[in-house]
Amino acid sequence: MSTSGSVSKACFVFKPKAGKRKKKLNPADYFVNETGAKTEATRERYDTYQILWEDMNKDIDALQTDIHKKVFDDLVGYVGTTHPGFSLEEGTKQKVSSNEIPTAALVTGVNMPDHGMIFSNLTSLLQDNITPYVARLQAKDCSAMKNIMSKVIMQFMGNKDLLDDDDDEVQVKRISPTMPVLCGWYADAVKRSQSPNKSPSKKRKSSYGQYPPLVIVMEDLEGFPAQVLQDFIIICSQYLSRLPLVLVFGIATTVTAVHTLLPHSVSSLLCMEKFQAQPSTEYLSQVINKTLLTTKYPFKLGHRVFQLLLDMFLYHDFSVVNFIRGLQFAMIEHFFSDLGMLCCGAKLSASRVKAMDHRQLEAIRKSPSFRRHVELQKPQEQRDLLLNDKHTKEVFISLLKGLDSYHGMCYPIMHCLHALTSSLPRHPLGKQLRELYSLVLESNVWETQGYKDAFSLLRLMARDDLVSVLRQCVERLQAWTESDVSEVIMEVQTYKAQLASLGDGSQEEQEEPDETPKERLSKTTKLHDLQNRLRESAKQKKKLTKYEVLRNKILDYLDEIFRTHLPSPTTLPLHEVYYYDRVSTLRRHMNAAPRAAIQTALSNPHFYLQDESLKTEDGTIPNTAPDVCIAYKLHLECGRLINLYDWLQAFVMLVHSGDENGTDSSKQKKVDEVLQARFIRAVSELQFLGFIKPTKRKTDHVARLTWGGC
Amino acid sequence: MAAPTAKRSMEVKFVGDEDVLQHVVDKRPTLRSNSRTAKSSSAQRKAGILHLTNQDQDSSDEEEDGEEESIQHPTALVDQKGVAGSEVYSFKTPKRTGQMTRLAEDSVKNQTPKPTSGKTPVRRSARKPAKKTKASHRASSSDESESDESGESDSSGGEEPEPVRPKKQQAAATGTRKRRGGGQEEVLPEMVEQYFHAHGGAKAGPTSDRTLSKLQIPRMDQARLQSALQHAPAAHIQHMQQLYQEHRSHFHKWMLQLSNGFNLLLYGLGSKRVLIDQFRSTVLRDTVQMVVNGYFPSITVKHILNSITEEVLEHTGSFRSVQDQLTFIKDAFEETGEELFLFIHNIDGPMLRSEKVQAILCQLAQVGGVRIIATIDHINAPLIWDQNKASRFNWLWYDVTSYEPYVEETSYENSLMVQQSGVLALSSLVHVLRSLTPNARGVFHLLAQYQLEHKDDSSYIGMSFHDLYQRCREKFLVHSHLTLRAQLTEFKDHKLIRTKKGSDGVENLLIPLDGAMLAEYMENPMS
Repeated sequence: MSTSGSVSKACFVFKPKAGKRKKKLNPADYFVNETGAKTEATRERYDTYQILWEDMNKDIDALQTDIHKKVFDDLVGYVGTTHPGFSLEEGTKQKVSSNEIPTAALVTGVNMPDHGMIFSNLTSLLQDNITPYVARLQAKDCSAMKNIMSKVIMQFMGNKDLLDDDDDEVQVKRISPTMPVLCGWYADAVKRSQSPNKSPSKKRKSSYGQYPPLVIVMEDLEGFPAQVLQDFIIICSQYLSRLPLVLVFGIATTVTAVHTLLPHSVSSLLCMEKFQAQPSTEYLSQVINKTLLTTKYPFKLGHRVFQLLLDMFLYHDFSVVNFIRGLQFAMIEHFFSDLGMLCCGAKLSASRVKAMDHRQLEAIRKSPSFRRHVELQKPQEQRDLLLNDKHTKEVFISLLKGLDSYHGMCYPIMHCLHALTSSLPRHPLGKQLRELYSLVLESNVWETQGYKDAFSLLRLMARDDLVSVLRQCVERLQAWTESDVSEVIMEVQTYKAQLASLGDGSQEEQEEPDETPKERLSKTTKLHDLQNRLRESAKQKKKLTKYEVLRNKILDYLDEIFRTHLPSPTTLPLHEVYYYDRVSTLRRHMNAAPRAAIQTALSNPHFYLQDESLKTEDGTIPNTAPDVCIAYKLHLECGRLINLYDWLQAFVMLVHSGDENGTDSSKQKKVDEVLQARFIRAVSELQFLGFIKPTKRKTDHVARLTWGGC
Repeated sequence: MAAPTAKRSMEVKFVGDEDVLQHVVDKRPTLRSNSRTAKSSSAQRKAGILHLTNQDQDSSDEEEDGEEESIQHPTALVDQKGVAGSEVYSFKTPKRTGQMTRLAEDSVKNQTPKPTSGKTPVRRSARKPAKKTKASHRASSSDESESDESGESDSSGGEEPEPVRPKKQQAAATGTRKRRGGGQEEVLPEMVEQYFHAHGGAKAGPTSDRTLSKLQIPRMDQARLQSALQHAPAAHIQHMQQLYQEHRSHFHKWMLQLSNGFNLLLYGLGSKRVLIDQFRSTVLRDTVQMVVNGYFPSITVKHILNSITEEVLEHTGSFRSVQDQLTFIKDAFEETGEELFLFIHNIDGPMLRSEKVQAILCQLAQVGGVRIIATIDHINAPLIWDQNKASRFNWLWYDVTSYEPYVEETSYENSLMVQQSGVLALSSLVHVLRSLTPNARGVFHLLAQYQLEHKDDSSYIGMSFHDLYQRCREKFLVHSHLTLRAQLTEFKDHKLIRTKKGSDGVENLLIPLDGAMLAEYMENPMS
């Protein structure tokens, strides 16, 4: 199985001997415990994971089609109406007034990784409703005119629905890709679809118009070579009278991209309509709502992991696909550990807790939140919790139930808080629900500065605003049918009614307060007295109006609700069962820093090799360090160019200092040769890693390529 | 509300309504509250701007809004424990001659055998580069090394042989270094000065003029290098073994993640061949595997695809284009449901780096049933993927630092100090020529002779096709353009000749060998 040392070949294929071929890769085979054995517990964990992930995936898929529904409907409707008077019949043929190609510009946003899904959804939607003829083009296939044409024709003609069985696909490939061919084929296809002797399977297609348009979808318009695109559009416009062509441009940036790609003479051939897809942030919010902010799935992300995935989304690529992948990775990791065992619905978890053996119990007892919980108990209870398995199991069950009911209340109340604060100036608790969720995950939300700010702002709110905000609260709460929030709704609605009934009483409030100062000021007083009195009255709290009293009452009530229902999950015992928060694992595997790793390995070998002799306290280099580390550290002391001879001398001096034995000249020579060879190896490794490169500016010099690490 | 004056002096550029809206997410609800709470003065100012920009309400409002909002920084992306970005990516700093030697000397002095005390229990914790102490230490010990240093700098032409000066310089340098670690405000002008000091002035930089010819063995050839390295002591075996075992313990996780549709990307210092071979032969026994050596100097993506179609899928036929081939592969794997484990050593290899190749590879990664395990070594390797490609590859990254020497990987590279013996080139030349017809050999002979005649002419760019054709005809070697073309194509395929378009558009033919070697060939052509 050796793959090295070949000078002629770089690809090697290994096949198992016949009959020994392994069955398909199955994740279940690799769900094992620490010792590498498969047990009942690991099987259960795997099953839970599998079911959970499948459900979640289904939900996300449904969301994917849903999120773009509106814009897709618009687009499909547009495509359907583009060629109203089109006809191929000689008699009825009317002069096509203009040679403008109907074009739909679909602005998709910069989240490129998600686009594949958007376009495949769109294509299938078009094929279901408007036309069987849809061709998808990607910039990578279209480097020249010929490629575009053959790609388009292949996709139109290769459409199996309308090809008879004896039409071989090979034949399609042989056809020279030109527009006249396409015209002939289209006329033929239309005639065929009209002829009565059709098999029943073709009946369905009658829902298409007589002349279904030919839709060409260009997924990444910005990537197309400008010249090719221009030619293609000009040619298309020439054939508009014979082919009902419709273009769909997928644009990641802005519509102006069309104009930078196409000169006026070409863009005037397009009759463009713009369609704006939902921004991916919107999509992400929905995904989070559907997968994390719900009681349907027990698996949750801890604060740091959640924040990391969010940051990767917001600061790297805006890609929801990548977010979902991170979620999946976190789930795999979570269920791979013992804690994942109980991360399932309440009913299942109770029976699983009962079935647990001592070792598994111990694993969960070790979780920090449970230990904290134990420490708060009385000594007797403590002993029971730690030693009495039966008792512990009961406690576990009740704690898990507690967590479930916490989730049941937490999410609706959080929505309520969000409705209350999202429109405040400066957004003390975040604009998006996900920001608020992140805060809640991190710590008790009422202890944050943002919460205090938000409430002080709320206490200044005008009545109309307050009423509208409360109405939103009620609406959001009512959306939660599965949780028991009716009490809160009732309460809020009563307050709202009180606010409304306050309406007429506003005048009398104003009369009340201004009586007392009048009579006092009527008397003539000394300046000193007046000053004192003013000071006193300033100290005295201004009497609150009725509205203000009510407002404070409402806010106090809400505050109370938030404090009872929105504690951070990290404060609850056994939260580790549901919340995955090992952020370093996730960061290492999803957002790695390979260069930092290499540089650390070079400049600080002790980090990886646990050898005491590699430790240095001052910038010097231990001579026991690996050769490449020594060479690297020496090269850090150089400028742009490095003299190989000097470098070698320094290297030899350093390495040689370790083994000071014998001045025997022959032996010395031997050592020198070995040292030189080691140096050469180190240098070529540095070259391989990209730190230096050969240069011709000076003989026997190399150029440095990086400036970090010094 | 940051300085309104700054705002007024700002250059105003026309930004279309649509463009702004597309870039701004969810600003709408904030607008309402803003206008409500904003003081009247700001409203006036807003009106002023409106007047000034002559724009629709939206765009100016958005700007206003963006200004108010403090910039948010990602909090979770940065690993607090790891190396800071500023350490990895920093500016060039001025360097002096002999600094390297000095560091070496210092280090030698410090090599007092330390008592190996108890093991440190915490792994991967303390990793603070001792920058400050390094500088101060150097300052103190520079007196001792001064004599050596000045002795050496004598020979290094450009440097003034005055022993006091470098010392002063160094003291200043250490001072600046120390300060750089301190407060941010002081740092900036200091850094600017350093930057220009480092980049301006001397053309080649302060390096000595010594060359490798001073050595006893100025150039080693590959064989001698290898034999010498056999004697090199192996260090840290035990610790490297520990690292290796740790990586091995991840094999199960790898399989789990592969089976869940992720691909693996291994990075870190040291060759990963051993680890991957181990993974292949233990866990993945009895599966269809393909190994690609990405560091191989003449690998192309065509080779990879051909290996898949011909050897894995056992398909005998050719494809019109790479895309066709990819489609075929995709269909074949989806049809049979087979699985292929594709190992790519150095997916960042010089021949695989290009955008096109990576685009093809990432499409391969999307084929169901193909799992990729790849390695990268170059420090800038991740730059070969844009977000789209990276997302298609669906990588999970693993740090598998091993400190194994890159024996295999660097053996192809033309290292500076390894002599290119040229034996290989000559022998391959003879080998190919032996299999050709006498006429073809004659053509090559003619070309070589012509090139040798012009070997002292530095502006020689090759023999024009027409010239060659004339001479060949004179010697009755070819009888038509076509036959000569056919011969030349054959040479080209074996990389015996290179063609270059001259400035006049004429095709010039060149043998890519140096004069001495060509002469050697001409002396005994068929040996």
